[in-house]
Amino acid sequence: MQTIKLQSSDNEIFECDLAVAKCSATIRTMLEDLGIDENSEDEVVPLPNVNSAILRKVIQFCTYHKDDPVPSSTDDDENKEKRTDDITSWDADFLKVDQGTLFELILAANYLDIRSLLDVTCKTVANMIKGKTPDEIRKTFNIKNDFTPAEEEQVRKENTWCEEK
Amino acid sequence: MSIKGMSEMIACRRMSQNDVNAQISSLPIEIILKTISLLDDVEDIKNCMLTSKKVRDAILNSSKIMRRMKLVFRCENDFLSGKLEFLAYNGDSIRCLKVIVNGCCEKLMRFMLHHVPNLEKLCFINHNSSDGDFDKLIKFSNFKSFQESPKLTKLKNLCFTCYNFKELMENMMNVDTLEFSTSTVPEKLSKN
Repeated sequence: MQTIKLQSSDNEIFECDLAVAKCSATIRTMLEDLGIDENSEDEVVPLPNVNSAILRKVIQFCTYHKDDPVPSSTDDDENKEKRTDDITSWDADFLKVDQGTLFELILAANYLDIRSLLDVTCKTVANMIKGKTPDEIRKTFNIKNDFTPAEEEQVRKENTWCEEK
Repeated sequence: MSIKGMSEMIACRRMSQNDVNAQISSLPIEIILKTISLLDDVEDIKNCMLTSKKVRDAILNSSKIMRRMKLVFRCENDFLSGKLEFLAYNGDSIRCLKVIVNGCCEKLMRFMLHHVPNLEKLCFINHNSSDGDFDKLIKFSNFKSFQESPKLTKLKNLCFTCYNFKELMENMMNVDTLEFSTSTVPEKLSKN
């Protein structure tokens, strides 16, 4: 089995299956662009945006999903029906983490360009938003409310005109 | 470039992007938008719009979310006070637009001339076109500017629902095709 070493931001080295590491488009591109092949055993890929706890989770996710079919570009069609209720039980269990960890996983998935992980984490956050008030959403995303009361009322009034038909 | 150098370069790029968005949230705005675009309840999206100006503006500028909502929120205050509703579909390049108006529509006309360059079909519903004030509500010059606008070259279908047909007909004789939704007038009129 071909392996590769990944270094987290806190300098922990993870040796993982090359196929697992290549679930990350960022790592895949990096290896291709720099001409690093399977025989470059001493190469360590530093990942300064991902700490060891999150990298461990990412590797766990990629190991489980490494044989999944790669989504085609057409799967990103904006007209495609979006669903948030199709999270598998394994993924749901995997994402039973605190909100900080969930957001760190999203950032890691974004940085490492792991689309399947980004999709499922965003779906999880979308499910967290559903039914929440604006104030609750602000707290979820740590968003600072910069509306004045009058402006907020104006937006509410504006939105009353928008009805899906 | 070494693998360390490339990795750090990518990391720095991502980090600076995060820094820019840090004032909005702990997540980059594109991630927030991706998340919001997964919501299927308009009420949830409306609530997201109420969280902050930057999130609201980002949503308004997201054709992906607009397409999902099948709505256009981008209404100016003057339009709202005139009780306008915009219902649009087909995404960022709006090709079909239904407008419900209850007031002077000159600003609406100017808005559409500038913001819906790919408009192919316009359905115009006037809820308040009573006798005498119709000319103030819909002027032929407005529609002429629509049809002759170099910005609206794709506009082929104008559809009106209106309560004052006499004045509408007097004012609309140069419009190629009119479609009325009531049984009191022919379904389609042609200037020819």
